[in-house]
Formats: sequence, C-alpha cells, structure tokens
Amino acid sequence: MSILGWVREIVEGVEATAHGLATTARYLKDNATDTGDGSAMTVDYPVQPARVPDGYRGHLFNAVDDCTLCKQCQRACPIDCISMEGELNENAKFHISRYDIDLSKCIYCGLCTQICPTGSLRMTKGFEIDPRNSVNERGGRYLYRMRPDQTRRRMDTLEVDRLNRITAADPSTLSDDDRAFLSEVEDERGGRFLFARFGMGFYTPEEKAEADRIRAERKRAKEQAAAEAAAKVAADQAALQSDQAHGSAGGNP
Amino acid sequence: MTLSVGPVSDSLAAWFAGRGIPALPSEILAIAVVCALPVLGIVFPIAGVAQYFERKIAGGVQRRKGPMVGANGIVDLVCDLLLFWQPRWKRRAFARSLERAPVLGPVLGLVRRWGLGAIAADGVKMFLKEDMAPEGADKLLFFGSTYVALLGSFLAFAVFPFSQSFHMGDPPVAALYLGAVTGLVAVSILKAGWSSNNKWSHFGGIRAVAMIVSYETPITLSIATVCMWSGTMSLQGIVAAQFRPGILSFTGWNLFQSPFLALVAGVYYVAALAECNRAPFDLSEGESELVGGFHTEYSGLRWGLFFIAEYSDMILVGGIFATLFLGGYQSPFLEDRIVALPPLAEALVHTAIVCAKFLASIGFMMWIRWTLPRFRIDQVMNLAWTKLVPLALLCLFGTALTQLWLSGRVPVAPVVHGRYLSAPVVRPDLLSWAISWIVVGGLLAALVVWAKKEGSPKPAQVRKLLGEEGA
Repeated sequence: MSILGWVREIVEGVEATAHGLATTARYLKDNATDTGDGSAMTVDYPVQPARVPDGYRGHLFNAVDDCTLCKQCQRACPIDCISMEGELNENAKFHISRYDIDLSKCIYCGLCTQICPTGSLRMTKGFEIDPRNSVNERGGRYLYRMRPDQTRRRMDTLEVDRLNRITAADPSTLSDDDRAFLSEVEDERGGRFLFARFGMGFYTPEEKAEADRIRAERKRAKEQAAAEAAAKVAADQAALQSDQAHGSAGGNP
Repeated sequence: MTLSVGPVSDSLAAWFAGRGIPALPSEILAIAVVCALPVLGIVFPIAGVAQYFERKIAGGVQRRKGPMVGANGIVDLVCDLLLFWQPRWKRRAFARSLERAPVLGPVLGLVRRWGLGAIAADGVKMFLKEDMAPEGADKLLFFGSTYVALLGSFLAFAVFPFSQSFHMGDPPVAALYLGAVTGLVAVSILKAGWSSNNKWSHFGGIRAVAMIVSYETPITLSIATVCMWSGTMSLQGIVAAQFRPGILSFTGWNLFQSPFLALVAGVYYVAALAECNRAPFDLSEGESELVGGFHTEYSGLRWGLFFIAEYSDMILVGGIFATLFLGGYQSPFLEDRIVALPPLAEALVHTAIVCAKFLASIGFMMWIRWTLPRFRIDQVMNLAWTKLVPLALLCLFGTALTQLWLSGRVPVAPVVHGRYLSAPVVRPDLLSWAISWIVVGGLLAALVVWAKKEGSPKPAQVRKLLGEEGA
C-alpha cells in the first residue's frame, strides 16, 4: 500500500464518519422538533392514539339493516367462528337477531368481508380487546368492549360496561330496567342494537352512508370494468375490420 | 500523594464549627471529601442520568421516541409488591393505573411524558435482581472482577484535576499513572470473561484485551506528545500551560496550538473510544455474536457495576481529553477572572466547567455509538496498528520539530495560572502560530487532495454503493 493510498483511506474514513454523524444529527433534530423525514415513526400509544395503517384488518362490524342473513360469511370462515340466527320480518325478509363472532378464534383473514354480497360486513380499524370481558356468562368468549369515545353517544365507563353486559347476555333474561336502558340508548342514536357477543350492531345514518358509498363504489367499479371490456371488444373488432380492409387493399393492388 | 484541598476542607471545617458540630481534623475531612465527591457526587449521578440520555439519543437516531412511560415501571413494581400473592389482581391494578396515570398528578404526568421514571426504575430493577454466579465459575475472580473494573476508573480520578483546589493529588508522573491504572479495565474484563465458565464470555474478554492492549499504544503516544509540548507529566502543569490571560482564554488550549496537536487529539479520542469499549469498538460485548460478551453471566447490581464502570470510563476519557487538549477545567472565556475568585467559588465554577466538558464528551460518544456499526476484529486491529500508531508517531515528531523551531523564535517561559506554575513552555506568538498552521495545514491539505486524486481507488462494491460512475 502506497502512502497516498494510506492517506486516502484515512480521509475517506473521516469523511464517511462525518457523513454518518450528519445524518444521525439530522434525525435527532427532526425527532426533537417532530418535523421532516426524520421524525419519530412511533407514537406514545396509550397516551396518543395509535396510528393504524390503511387496509388494517381489525374487528369486524356488521351493519344490521343491510345484512340479508345469506350466511355466506359463515361458510367462508375457515375456522367456523361466525354463527347467526334470524327471523322473517313483516316484509317477509330475513332480519338477523343474533350475530356472533368468537374473537378467541377469529384470525382476521377478512374472507367473510370479501364474500359479503351486500357489503354490510366489513373490517374496522379497531384492535383493542379488553381482557376484562374475556369470561362472560356465556362460555368464556372474548367480547369486544367499546371505549366510551367509540360509542357515538358519550357514555361513561359504567354505562358502557352495562351496555356490553346487556348485549352479551341472552335477550330473554334481560330485566325491565335493562330493556329501558337499551331502548333509551337506541332512541337517542336512531339505531338498534344487536344481541351478540361481539360488538354492538350499531346502525347510524353515517354508517349507512358509508355502506352506501362502499356499495356504490363497487357498483361503479363493476360497471366501469364492464364498459372497459365492451370498449376493448369494440376496439378489437374495429382493428380486425381495418386489418381485413388493409389486407384486401394490400392483397389486390 | 499530596493533598491540596486545603481551602475546601478548611471552609467545611469552619462550617461544621459554626454549627457546634465537633469538627474532624481538617486532613481527614479533606480525604473524605475528595475521595467521595468525584465518585459519589459526579461520576455516579452522571452515569445514572447518562443511560437515560443514551436511550433517548438511540431513540432519536432510530426514529423512535425512546423511554416514555418510565413511571409505569415504578407503578408496576408497587403493584407487584402489594399484590404479589394475587397476580391477576396485580395485573388488573396495573391496567387501571395505565388508564388513569395522568390523574395521579402533574408530577407523574411530567415524569411520564419524558420517561424520567426509567432512571429510577432501572436502578430499582438492578437492586432487586438476584446476584447469581454460574455453576463452575471461579467465585473469587467472578465476584472480584466487578470491583477491579470500578477500581480502574476510580483510581484514575485520584489524580484528575477538577479545579485548582479540588483534586486528590497531583504527582509529577500523573500521566504515567493514568496509563497504568486504566490498564486495570483490561484485567477486570479478562477476569470476568474467564471466570464466567462460558466460552462466549471468554471470547469477549480475549477480544477486549487484544483491543485494549493495541490501543494503549496510540493513547500513550498521544499523551506523550502533549506531555512533551507542555514539558511536564503533571496534569495540573498541563492545564496551567494552557492558560492565557484575556477574554479569549481558549486560544491557549493545546487543540489550537499546532496542526499536529489537533491531529493527535483526534487520534487520542478514537483510541480512547476503544479503550473504554465503546461502540463502534464494543467487540467485547458484541451481542450479535457473544450474547453479552464478558458480562453475560452477571446479573443485577453486579452487571450494574460494570455499567457504571463503563460510564465512569467514558467520563474519565472525556476528562482526560479535556485536560490534555481543551484546557482542563479552564473556561473558554475570561479564565483569569475565574482564577482570581475565592477558593470555594473557584472550585465550584471550575468543577461545573469540567462537568460540562464531561457531558459534551459523553454526548459525542453516544452520538458516535448510534451512528457507526460495530467493527470487525481485523478492522479494529488494522485501524490501531496501520492508522493510529503511524499518525501518532507523525504527530510526535511533528510536534517535536514545531517546538524546536518555536524555541528559537519565542521566549521559553513558565505560565503562572492561579496557584500553579507550569514547566517552561513555548507560547507561539500570532505570527509563528499562523505560519505553523498555514505551512503544516497547507501541506496536509495538499496531501489529502493529492491522495484523493491519485490514491488507490475504492473497491468496486463501495463505488457502486456510493453511486459513482465507472462502477
């Protein structure tokens, strides 16, 4: 190794170290001021809300009034954690009265939401399961317990606990007091509760609008795909015709 | 060893006497104060707080937030102590406290916001863990090596000057003594690794000793350069030689005296980083290969003692770097006013200044640690023997030539700094200072430019990574 090579190695080592130090200093500065591309990627979770990425598969939600009880989700489920019951209503349509998802089994694969023809079953971004409700009266299954700020009606913790207990219980065993409380909450929201072990089948105008939007989007996408396919067929035919015309012109000068 | 803490201990004795407390003899008090203060008053608190900043800096560099919920550790511990017989209730209480922590008061909220509880939680954790030794370990060496690790750095503080009056002793061979006692770290690590009865710990110990012994050479050479420039091996003498009256006191610091001294400062810092087993030279505890290296088998407070020894070494290295190159405890501005203060005030101000230099050095070491990856053993040895040692030798001869040249131009006279008189040193006047920087700095710059142009090219792999053409 020549002297010049030796000097060059030292200089490059110093330069590389300085470059690295500058990079980490920039990250430190960005992180401290919470600006720029070096700001922290993590959040102080229990204090700050967690950042949930797009496409995150959290708890399932079923919009009660849209569900037709076709049971395709039950069949699609690879581990059979979905079960439901329903009854015919006055318009001779099925209306579900119980929709259970055993969260101790659910693997959050999302197959049930893909198969759902009405778009009523979908995955939310919720992921917080409260282990305090892991043992309830009906066989030790997990129950999704909503936090007060997740319910649109601002309820305190006691009320949410009560609501969860009511919705987890067998409807026939409810006391009059509980029924009065339930109807009070339902009236306030203009929605209705589903008696289920999982979630509260809350149905609100906003969620209806969301479901409608999803449905409209799917319909639009389907129509667009059909239109594109038709256009492609037409274009192919036109190209074929022009080819034939060109070929005949070329073949018979 | 001479005690020169007269003013401090006299004031303390007077304070005791004024309150009717039977005062101890001044000398005993002095020994107690001087032995306890550097270690208990400066090294332990800095080491305790440093690990918090280490985590915060690591988090900052890696785009995380670092410790944020240290208070939870304490709450968890309290829940554990109160409800240890009913784990489920304990978990329930802890979960409640997580939800409700902000209402426990603004103080806990603040601690929680900054994660300051991590400091206390770590200490409590270390105290409560069981002190174990592996089966087949050599118990005497295993338990003894922790104390030797501490001893290595604490003994060095015996000669370290915190201020004009606040130091334990100033032997005329202090620099030599420093080199001797810091070598104890290698002994303790080798002993810890060997006595653990664990081959990975043993490898860690061997690596550490190989590295430390190699890096002793450039360290000794760079200390020798400064000793030659200052004409003394006494640390107070070296500090005194860097004193310049006037507003800009830092113009006397060795770092700015000549290009060779600036270069040798870099050599010393890199080698000292290796000497205290700090990343990127932390081969002895390379956790990807050796689990935890020499301290794998240590638990609880014994592991904590190694930890404190590491931070104590870092403080020491920062302190020696400051003493040799950054004027020791001197202030960068208006040092002559500070020296003229009453002894106690002077001691306080100078100790605060040298502590600021410690902290700056520790911060820089942490910054380096979270920037550079760990070196391989061959790279470490290569750096020591083919780069640092020749550079240090170059600086040694360069400094000697500079001194020879200067001694014909400027008067060679001792510097008076408060109570201390340095050995006769050359103090370059502005013209010779400028000439030395321009000539030597220009030569070095020209060499660098030439080498970058003509030196052997980088490997193709490196050029490809850097995105340079011709890869």
